[in-house]
Amino acid sequence: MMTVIQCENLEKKFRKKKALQNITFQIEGEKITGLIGRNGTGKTTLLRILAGMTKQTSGTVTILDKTPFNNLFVSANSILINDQMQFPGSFKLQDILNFAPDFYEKWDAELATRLLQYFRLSPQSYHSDLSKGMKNTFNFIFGLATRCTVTMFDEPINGMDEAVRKDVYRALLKDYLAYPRTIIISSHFLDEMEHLLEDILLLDEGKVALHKSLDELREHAIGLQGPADVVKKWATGFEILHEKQLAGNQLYTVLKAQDCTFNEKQLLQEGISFIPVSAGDLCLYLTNTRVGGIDDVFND
Amino acid sequence: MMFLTTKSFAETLQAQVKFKLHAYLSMVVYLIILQVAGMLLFLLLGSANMSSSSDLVEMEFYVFTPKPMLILSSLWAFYVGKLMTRHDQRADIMPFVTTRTLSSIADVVVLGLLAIFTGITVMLSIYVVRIIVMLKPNQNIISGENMVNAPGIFIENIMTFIVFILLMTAIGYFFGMLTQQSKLWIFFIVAVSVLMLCSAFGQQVLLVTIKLAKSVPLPLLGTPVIASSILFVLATLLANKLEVRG
Amino acid sequence: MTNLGIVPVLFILLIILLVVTLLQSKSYRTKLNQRPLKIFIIVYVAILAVAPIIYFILPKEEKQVLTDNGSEKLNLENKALREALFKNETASIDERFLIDEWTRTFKEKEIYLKMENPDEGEKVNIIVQTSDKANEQITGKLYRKNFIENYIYIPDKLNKPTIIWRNEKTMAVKNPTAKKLSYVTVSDKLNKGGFNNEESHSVVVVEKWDDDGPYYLLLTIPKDVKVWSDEGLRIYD
Repeated sequence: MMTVIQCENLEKKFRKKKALQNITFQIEGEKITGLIGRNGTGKTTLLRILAGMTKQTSGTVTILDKTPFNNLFVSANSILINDQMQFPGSFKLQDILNFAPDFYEKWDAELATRLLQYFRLSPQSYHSDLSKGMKNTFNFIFGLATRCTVTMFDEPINGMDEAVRKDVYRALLKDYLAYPRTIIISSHFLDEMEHLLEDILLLDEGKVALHKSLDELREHAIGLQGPADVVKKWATGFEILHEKQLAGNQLYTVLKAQDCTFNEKQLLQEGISFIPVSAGDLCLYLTNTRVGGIDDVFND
Repeated sequence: MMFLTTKSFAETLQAQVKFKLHAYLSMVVYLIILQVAGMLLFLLLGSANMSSSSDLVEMEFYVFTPKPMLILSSLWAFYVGKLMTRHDQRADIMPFVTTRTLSSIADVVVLGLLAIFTGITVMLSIYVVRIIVMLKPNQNIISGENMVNAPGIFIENIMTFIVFILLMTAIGYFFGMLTQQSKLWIFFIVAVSVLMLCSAFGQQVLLVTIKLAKSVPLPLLGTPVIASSILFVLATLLANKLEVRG
Repeated sequence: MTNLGIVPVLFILLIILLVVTLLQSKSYRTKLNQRPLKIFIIVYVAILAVAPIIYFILPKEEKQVLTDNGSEKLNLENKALREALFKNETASIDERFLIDEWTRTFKEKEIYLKMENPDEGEKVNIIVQTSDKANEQITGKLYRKNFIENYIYIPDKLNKPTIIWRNEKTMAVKNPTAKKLSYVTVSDKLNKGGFNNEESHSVVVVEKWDDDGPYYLLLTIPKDVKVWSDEGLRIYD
């Protein structure tokens, strides 16, 4: 399988602030990877480096075996869709679509037109007149129709309502199945799009916290809930990712699964239940540096 | 096996130039508005009028030349050059296939084409002025240099205008790139120019520079062409260095 | 030279300011679509392209700035006119020089010729001729030589002198007032200081005969009439 994206010891500084450090990962073949992380963890910066829009401070990055910065080959075979995309003020959506084939050989005009129609975007309206959600819908359609080998979406669903989001996920999946390619989506809404993703790349404070397939991620942690003292007893010796005090002296603990095996029967007898941890929650726990939760702010 | 696109530099440049030209159509319309405004102002207010009297006649002369249209167009050229470097116009967020270098080269090509368009339209606009002048009744018109009786002047002027407008766009482009780096450059440049113009030493330096520029054995239009090229190259280097936080 | 007052300059600055503000506020959200923009530009370019053709096709009366040769030729004609007048060879004078002609019955024995406004220069030269016939008539013929000012030949636009009979014996000539003429020239040249290229003309040597005013009044008076003249009047006989 061909390595599409490869990063090694990637570092990016803005003046003295380190936006990215020690980023090492590789993405092979055609798959959809979710780029997950909290606000300000460097997702956008990473995507901009991958798209060749910004240069890294140190380390190496290759897309299709080429350094992306200022590289025409990479630019022709990749696209980054974000909500900062601007089109000339005098261009109607149709004008934008008309120009696209000049740049993207694999442009699917029919798909673009049909999606525009479906999402009720008038080809005669101006990009700058669209609402935030509609703008992002259009940008998404644009990104999908380019059929670029490496397609990156930075927070593509911001501002879209739930119905549109669902349709967008569906459209992405359908088009991906018909024309497999390497897709990276950064988003806060991991739960909603968990079904799309094969891989998760989790960033935390400018570093790679985790890069696993979704299946591996699901086995990465287990949640135990039951009487606090019993749960605590069982949890000793394991890495606790998250802990939450519940009503009635109950405790919910998320443990790093690693190679631990529990005797399920015994646990159940002691009043502890297994609670599966969703990928979204897990990512949240893995990147949570705060001591306690928001509730603790209000406690004395 | 995935299918990869290999677009040549020339192909992409062509597509970018076409795209940018379309993106700047509204700028061309503003240029036209300025040129028309120039012509109207010019016709309303007259220009370079002189009078001479003898015992029998008091003669008044109105002289119309392409100068006002050229001045207005060059202000526009500076503006467009500067506009191209604005954050929202640059490769960082322009969604089509490009690289920073390619985008800068496309900018220069577009500015060059716009300069050619501007130079020719400025020169031709004087013929519209001619017709309007002719249509006014009770006029004594003295024939001036035109493309038939003085084709040399006509062609030389078009070349000069194009080069001059190009230089203005280059100055705007370079200035724009500088200010993209830091707004402090604006104050710096203004301060330096004021100092240069106000101090005796500064004036001396300017004069010597002009003398040096003139003493270089170049054809008439060589100096502005070289100056424009230097500015464009510097601006492109600046553009490659620019960091825009996403 | 360039005589732009402060008002037009301010006006232009104001317009520029307006346009720049307009540009800045509109460039983000220009609602003009590609098609109307293109049409607008094409129309403008078409107008500009057609303008020179229309200009050259339109019938026009453009005056040429005289060349050295041209003004010399006109001056020679003036010289010939003067000589013909003084030699009384009026028949040989080109008709275009004669601009007025009159006859008046005159029964007096003497005539006073006066200048109505002598301080305004000598624009009219009076040539008195006596006629052989005793026909009690005075004829006047007003000629104007080729008038050139600032290298422009002005053939027919000048004011004429007027003749006033104060009484039966006194004829006064009133100098013509200066005529206001405005000239327009449109040039491709960028730095056109004047309407003509002064450097291309050589310095014209003014000869004595050229000192005459542009008008000649040829009076034919019966031979027995005595002529008295005012000072400030140029009379040749």
